[in-house]
Amino acid sequence: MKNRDLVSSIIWMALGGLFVAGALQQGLMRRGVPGPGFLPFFSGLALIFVSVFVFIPALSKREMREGSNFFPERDSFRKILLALIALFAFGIAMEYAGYLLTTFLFMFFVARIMEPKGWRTIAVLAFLTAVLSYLLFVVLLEVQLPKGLLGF
Amino acid sequence: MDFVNHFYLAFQVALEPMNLFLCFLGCLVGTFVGVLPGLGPAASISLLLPITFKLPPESAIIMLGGLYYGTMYGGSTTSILINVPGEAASVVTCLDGYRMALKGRAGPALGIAAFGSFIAGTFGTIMIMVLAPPLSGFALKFGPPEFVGLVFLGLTMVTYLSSGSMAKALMMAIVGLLVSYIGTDIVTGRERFTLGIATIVGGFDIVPIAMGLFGISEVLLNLERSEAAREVFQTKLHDLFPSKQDWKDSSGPIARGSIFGFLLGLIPGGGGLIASFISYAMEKRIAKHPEAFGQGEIRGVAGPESANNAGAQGAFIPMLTMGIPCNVVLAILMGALMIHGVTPGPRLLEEHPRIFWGVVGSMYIGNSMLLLLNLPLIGMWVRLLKIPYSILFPFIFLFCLIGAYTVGNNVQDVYIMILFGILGYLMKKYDYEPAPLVLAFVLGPMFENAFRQSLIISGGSPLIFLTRPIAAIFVVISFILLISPLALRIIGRQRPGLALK
Repeated sequence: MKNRDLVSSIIWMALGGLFVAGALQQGLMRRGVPGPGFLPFFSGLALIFVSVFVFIPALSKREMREGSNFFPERDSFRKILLALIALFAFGIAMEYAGYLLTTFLFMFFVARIMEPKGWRTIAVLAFLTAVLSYLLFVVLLEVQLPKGLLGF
Repeated sequence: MDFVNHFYLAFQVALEPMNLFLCFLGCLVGTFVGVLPGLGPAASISLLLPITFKLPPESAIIMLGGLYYGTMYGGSTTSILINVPGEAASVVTCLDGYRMALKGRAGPALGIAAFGSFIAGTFGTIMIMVLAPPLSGFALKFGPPEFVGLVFLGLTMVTYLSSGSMAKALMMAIVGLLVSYIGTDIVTGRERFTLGIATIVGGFDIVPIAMGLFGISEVLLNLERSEAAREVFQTKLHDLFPSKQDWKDSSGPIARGSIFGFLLGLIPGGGGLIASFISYAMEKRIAKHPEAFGQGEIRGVAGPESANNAGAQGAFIPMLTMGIPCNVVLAILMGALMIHGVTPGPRLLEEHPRIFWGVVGSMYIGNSMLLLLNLPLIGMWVRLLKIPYSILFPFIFLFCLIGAYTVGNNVQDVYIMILFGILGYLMKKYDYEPAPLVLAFVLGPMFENAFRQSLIISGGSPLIFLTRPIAAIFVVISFILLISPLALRIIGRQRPGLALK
């Protein structure tokens, strides 16, 4: 990870390339006028073209930038990873366990993993959040949220 | 006579008890979010979007509008009191506002920020009433080629005025367009780039994208760092009302800030941020004692704060009259209106007068509410700053999760939001701004539609964009802007967006 511009511009070029390839399959023209692939094709080309303007200057400055550690603190990666796992787990669990239970567990774990202090306070807070947000969204705003196997 | 009728309709809609309440709620929540560092207006609007789904469209946009001005107000409060701008447009306010607070003049600084914003906001609203109808009429004459030129110019301006690398901003705009192509092709009905995923056959929704890029990614970035204790300025706030001398010093900056801010707001990519920077630079240049700036000069607070609010107000005009959102907040607002089945553009005024004038009316009311809400409640807002982030962020996550789910009652949208959250996080790490992406994404379908219609009209010849005079002007200006950074580099000068850094 010596040079972030180098890495990112290559990724964007690849993305542009994927769209160009996909657009060619769609067909650029239909009966003399642009078809479904026309704009994606040229947009993809444009992305590759502009990426070059980030890529070339990045080639010549290979030195490390100040503060170039990807994560600012030793603990950062763990926190980010746990947060992402919790987010995905919320999506998966909600359909089975229902909104109330999932929200309680989510709030409890997220708050505790990040700042592990008194679990009682956090449990009460998580419980209140689940119930109050349920009242706000489901009862007051009539938003449809998954009920889950237990019926709530 | 028309003006009086419009005025009447504006207040009739805005003063309906429901709308009045929603406007109040928007302002209150907006100030709340604005005061909390880390969440800007774009994030807060996308967070509250789902709440508005059940509302009539005019009520929805009234509430979201209140939220938008509310965050602007809240942002300046933290700039002055703790030297932390709540959002980008109040960065300049830190320079002199915080200095004033250190000198024991936090009260007048907050007061002049609030009054200046109020005056500028009211001025902006009056200008909208005057300018919007003729502009809508003008935009009605636009055919597909003119629209293509306009969108092209809009996107170019946004990248030109971006504060980072122009190439990167341009790339993000193109990525936004590419993302907007995913789904069913409007003209032929063919599926494109969906990789067989059923949820995105109809294309991506704006809500999960905006929430991911602005909400989730913000939280992830904040989570990385352990919490530094925020130093809240300990002072007794007295004399919120600026003195006679303060008013005398500030009246010029407020007037100039209002006018220039409004004009800059009309330009895509302009808006509050650039308006506030330019106002500060201008006041410093014409001041008798420029050395006082940066030492707690009230002019340095009054001007930028007014300009930033007038700019926020002015930015509504291109969206309401031409369907071009000038900044990312308005792009999300526009997405919200489209979820309600209303497409902003020249026909909005004719087809949905209640929405148009209701929004204008609520601007007057929102501005007054913010003044009444902010001055007496400043003490409470300051205390809010003491809420630790560890308590706050699970709630932001939860709001995002619920919001993404409720767009289509579909858990796939939740995953899409999380993925865009990761993308936004990485983009910030690698110095890419998400705003051009979201703007281009919102404009993408309209752009493509108009582009293909134009070429159908011309029988496939791209020259149509150069033979129609209005379209040609837009296209030529866009190309000049695109080429100019290279030219400027050759003569050794900087483009205005870069100078902001």
